[in-house]
Amino acid sequence: MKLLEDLFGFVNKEFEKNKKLQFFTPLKDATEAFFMGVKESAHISPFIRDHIDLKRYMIFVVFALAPAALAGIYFYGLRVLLVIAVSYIFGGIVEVLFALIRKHEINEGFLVTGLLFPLTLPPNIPLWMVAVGIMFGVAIGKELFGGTGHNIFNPALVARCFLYLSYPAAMTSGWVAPGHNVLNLSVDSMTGATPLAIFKQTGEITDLWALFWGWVPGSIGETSAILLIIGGIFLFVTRVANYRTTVGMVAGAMFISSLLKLLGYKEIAPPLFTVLSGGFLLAAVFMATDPVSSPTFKISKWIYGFFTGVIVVLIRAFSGYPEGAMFAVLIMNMFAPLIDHIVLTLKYRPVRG
Amino acid sequence: MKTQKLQGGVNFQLKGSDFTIYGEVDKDIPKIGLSLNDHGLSPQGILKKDEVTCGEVLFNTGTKTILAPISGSLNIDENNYLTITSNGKPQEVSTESIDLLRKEDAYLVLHKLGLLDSRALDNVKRLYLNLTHTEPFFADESLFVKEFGDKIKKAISNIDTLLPNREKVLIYKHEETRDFLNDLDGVTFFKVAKYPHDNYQLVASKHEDLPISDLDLSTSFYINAETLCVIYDYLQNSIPPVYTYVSVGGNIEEPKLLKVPMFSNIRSIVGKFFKAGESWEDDYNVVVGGPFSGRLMEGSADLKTSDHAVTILYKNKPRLLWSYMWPGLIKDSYSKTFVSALLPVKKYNDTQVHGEKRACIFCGYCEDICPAGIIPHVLYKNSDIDELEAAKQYKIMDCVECGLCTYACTSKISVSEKIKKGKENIIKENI
Repeated sequence: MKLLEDLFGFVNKEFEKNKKLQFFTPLKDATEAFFMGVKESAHISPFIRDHIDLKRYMIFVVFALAPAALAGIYFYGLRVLLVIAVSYIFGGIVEVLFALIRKHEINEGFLVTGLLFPLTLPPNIPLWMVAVGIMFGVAIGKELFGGTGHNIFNPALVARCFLYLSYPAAMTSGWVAPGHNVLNLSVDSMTGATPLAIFKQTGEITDLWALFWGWVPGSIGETSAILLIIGGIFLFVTRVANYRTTVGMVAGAMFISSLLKLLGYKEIAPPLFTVLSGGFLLAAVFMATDPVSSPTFKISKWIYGFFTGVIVVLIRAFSGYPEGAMFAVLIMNMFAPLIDHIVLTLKYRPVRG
Repeated sequence: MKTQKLQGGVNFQLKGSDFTIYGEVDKDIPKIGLSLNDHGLSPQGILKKDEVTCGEVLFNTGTKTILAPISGSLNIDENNYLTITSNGKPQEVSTESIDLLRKEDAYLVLHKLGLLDSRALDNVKRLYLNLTHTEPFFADESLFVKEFGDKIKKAISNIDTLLPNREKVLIYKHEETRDFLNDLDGVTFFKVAKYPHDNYQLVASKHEDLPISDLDLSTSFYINAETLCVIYDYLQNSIPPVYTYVSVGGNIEEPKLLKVPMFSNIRSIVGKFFKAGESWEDDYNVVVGGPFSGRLMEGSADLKTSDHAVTILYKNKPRLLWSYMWPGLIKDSYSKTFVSALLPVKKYNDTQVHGEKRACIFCGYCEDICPAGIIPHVLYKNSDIDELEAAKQYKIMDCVECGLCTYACTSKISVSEKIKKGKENIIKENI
């Protein structure tokens, strides 16, 4: 410990103003904070501060994602590790470049984006596509708006949406049945269709237990419902994510699919299948709950979650796409500030008379 | 005759039965009281720092009260004791004038000492007597009741001589306190829980059943337990008080209550919690007041008469490798990301910020923790970009400045500071 302190103390001198390395200060600060945290003390009241910071906040999302990511590696082989590594490295480069040029700090939000994005991709995705996608997501989805805290859309979903619309073939085919040869680095195209695609084409419903445990083809991190639920509970208990969005989204999807099913629409999947299949839970637990791009008030969170769930069902049933979770979250991201504005205005409306 | 300036808040010793004090009496404080023992002056007293010019000092010998003219010479020895030798003759003051002084000046003296704020007295209908400390670190009222319980009890029952016919509301935390004070007449009890429930505005809002923005604080006084003790001393001795009471808490073994001379030096108080000669100033910060509402002070500064709490906090603890990934067994947090947040353990605090400043990510902790029911992250943005009308509409004036939003902020933003500025601007621009 002493050694590291001394090292940073020594290195710090080189990054002071008007020194050669001043340009790289954000990088140095991030490295130091990554290992040691910061030394700053409070000079204005309150003089004691909560021990939580954005690093811990974000690392907890990574912890919550870890089961799903590990399951992805188990299901689809070590190539998944490569995909995650590419995502972190190329996204990291963009993040650092922006930080250096715009002279702001390197933000921890990237820890989540860099892991969340690969989990939404099919296991067979070419590595160059991962790189292009995450670079687009970080640059356009986040940094152009001003970095973490200012982005309108979830950067990981922006990245995925970009790939989805640019390379639909790679993003919608080449699904792999999970669980053979973990050590295989190049995934053979053992094609299998995702449960949602099967339902769309034939109306056949995959076994719900298979969906629950994750033994179905799908994106790297989205298949195992149980692991996503565990991650979600972890986030709700630690108060990192807000359960209102997730519960609202599940309720919205269940409600609308039951309703439309009662009205006799054949395109609608059963409620439980809707929730367990595809990227619904990944979106509900990790995407929609993103504090930055979702609304902030408790009531708005319920509304936002509910309508996200509704839109997922509608897109799945009545559009050409088998999966609607990504579009639903992005669409509702757009409305989040509006929902907040309406809630705020109603709460503080002037008293009449 | 020469005068000598006194060092701030020195303890001094007075010797001799015939005396005159050379010094300067602060113009803000009309009289300085010194207790006398039977044979002369009491061994210790205190004079206000720096500007004590010629004036009068009021003494109480136990049997009679003496108004002494100040003249003569001062010596400060190497122990920082002030010795006064003089042959001036104290002048006796009639009992009547003392009674007069007590009645008319009582409020004024306490006000000049910063113990009661300046209000039109006739307006004051209610006294909120706060017996407890809800800010973290401090000994709560049980210690106070144990050590000064009788004093407080007498002060409450005698406060009518000072401020007659006011409704008295006792703010307390433990039922034992209520049981102890239950035989007092004409008081109502008001139970509070954790910080900042004993906040003046919050208590008044709840007790008077009004929203915070509609409160008229000019109709009540808020007096804490330490002040009650001082008032007791004053009413008992009928001389302006010399000693004050200070709660000390923080990263020390256990919180304590001290009776110290007014204007005491911070070093002299904090030093009592360390071994003699231990250089604590490199390792500890001293906050005068509570950790949430106080202000950072140098050790060389003196306490004001209105200061009744001192918090001693670690300055810098050595940093841990990857501390943000540790389970956190003793860390204090509003979020539940630390194991300690789930366990009833003693939590560790210091003056460090524990993170870097970031943009607001709308985590909502400030909204959840706010005792006034307003939305700090919206208001801080409003005041940051001078949208004062919107801020006022969103009830920025309801803020009680408890600082909890800044405490809980994940992005380490000084939320309460910004809101405070917004409030000031609203008042300044009269919106």
